[in-house]
Amino acid sequence: MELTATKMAPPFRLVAKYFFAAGCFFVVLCAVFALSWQDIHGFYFQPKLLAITHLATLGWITMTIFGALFQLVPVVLEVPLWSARLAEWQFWIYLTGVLGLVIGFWMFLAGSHMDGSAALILIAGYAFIWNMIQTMRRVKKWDVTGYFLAAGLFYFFFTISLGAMLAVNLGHPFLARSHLDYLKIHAHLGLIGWVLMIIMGVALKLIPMFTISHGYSHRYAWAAFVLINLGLLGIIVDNVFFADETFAPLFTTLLALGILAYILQIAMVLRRRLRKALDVAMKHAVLSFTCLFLVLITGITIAMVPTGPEMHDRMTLLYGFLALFGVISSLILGQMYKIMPFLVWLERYAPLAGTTLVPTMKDLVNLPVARMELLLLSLSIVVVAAGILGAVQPLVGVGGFLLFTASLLFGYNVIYAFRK
Amino acid sequence: MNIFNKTDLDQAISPPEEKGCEICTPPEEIERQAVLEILKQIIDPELGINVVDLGLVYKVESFENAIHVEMTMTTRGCPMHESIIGAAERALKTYFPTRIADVQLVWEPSWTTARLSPEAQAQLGRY
Repeated sequence: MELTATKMAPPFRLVAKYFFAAGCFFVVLCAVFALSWQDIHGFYFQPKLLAITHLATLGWITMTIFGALFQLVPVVLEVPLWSARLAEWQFWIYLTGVLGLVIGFWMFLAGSHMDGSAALILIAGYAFIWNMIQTMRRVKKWDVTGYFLAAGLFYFFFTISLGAMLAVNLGHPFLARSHLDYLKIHAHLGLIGWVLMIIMGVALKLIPMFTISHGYSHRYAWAAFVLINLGLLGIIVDNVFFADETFAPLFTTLLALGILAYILQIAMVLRRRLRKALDVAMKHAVLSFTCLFLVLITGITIAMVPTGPEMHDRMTLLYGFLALFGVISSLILGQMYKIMPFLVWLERYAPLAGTTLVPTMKDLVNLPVARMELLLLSLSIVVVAAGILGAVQPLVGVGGFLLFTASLLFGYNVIYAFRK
Repeated sequence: MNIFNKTDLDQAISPPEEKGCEICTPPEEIERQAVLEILKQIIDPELGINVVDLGLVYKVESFENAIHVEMTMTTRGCPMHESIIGAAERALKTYFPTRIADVQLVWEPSWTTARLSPEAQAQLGRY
């Protein structure tokens, strides 16, 4: 009999550990965001904003991506995970590194504390990349998702390598150019190259699977892949070799067209879906892609429309907030309402199916709580965005409180699924 | 709790004379229908629809000492496939304990939405 993907997947406890840690990081992130509302303004290069950003990108988002890829790569690409043991070691090294780095940024402990934390993240990150390369080497049939994932890993390597260099540079300056020039490259590599590539690739597989969408081509997805990569690589080369960012408008346009092509692909998938009613997970995806459109507009404005320095800072902060919370967190939260019940179902109920009545996956989610979470999340995005854009700090505070409440509701559903 | 309604299944596999059927249905067809009835108890946990109405069952063959089923999934690489195949094997084994339940996963021909039963289509919201 054919070897099946779930037989290849790593142990439940391993993947659950990554998701549980990511969920905790999300609640802490939202709490810190809500409590720091007075600090969320102005120029982004300040200790608390850097701590919050890394809590989001490393603790919440990347931790989730690790867990999701350990679970999904065997399923999506039909190959077994190369080493579950390496993934186990990676978890503890990474967790220690992230906690160290975030505390390091918050208290600005430049020097050996930051260096050590960055080194741990680097070791864990390289271990992950090695595990994935060894796993993906065995893929026989590459589809568009595979290319998105491979590109994401490529950029992840450079994101963490440059990130570690920047962390060391804070305590022992050695980089030839301004720290902020490299920081810009690091942020683009991380947000677009690593996170966006991975979530776009995974969503291309999961959204049609959950909505039962068939009979469409992937031409927009391929166009998105080419355009986003050209745009991103162009922006990086432009940053490295042309200090005045000569070609920024050209590459930003390519990037924007790529994102637009991706939105068109998802729209096509959703149009061809058989499952008409959008469930709570898919509604999160719609929120995410709406925010992606807003990020696109914000990004184009930053790159092409001349504004004063104060407005530029606000727009940059808005861009970061919408990308981290509106696009990425919304999509992840929605997909978690599918992935968590799936994990629990597979562990607890799959062995009983066929002999007794077992719950379906939607029974493992408290839907009213999930709907309330989506409502609060949507509200918080609007309120915080208005607060940042209008420089009205109390609005950021109110939005932060809504965000934190939404995170608690999500946390409740995590516990609900695992205790069911 | 056993999920299977034994009365329904007994009716499904009972000889045609008992059901008052005038046209003589071949025994293998009767058994095929019985197997499908059993497989209807296997629900896709994500969609909440049984695998027969989803059109996932491609082939049912009944032998003296074995039952052979070929099934597919709605999407290649569906993470549920091992669980659904296992559930189908366990269900068949429950009803035919003396026979080997051999459920094979196949990807060709690819599943299409045309395979959905009207009930499944209605459940998915097409109508």
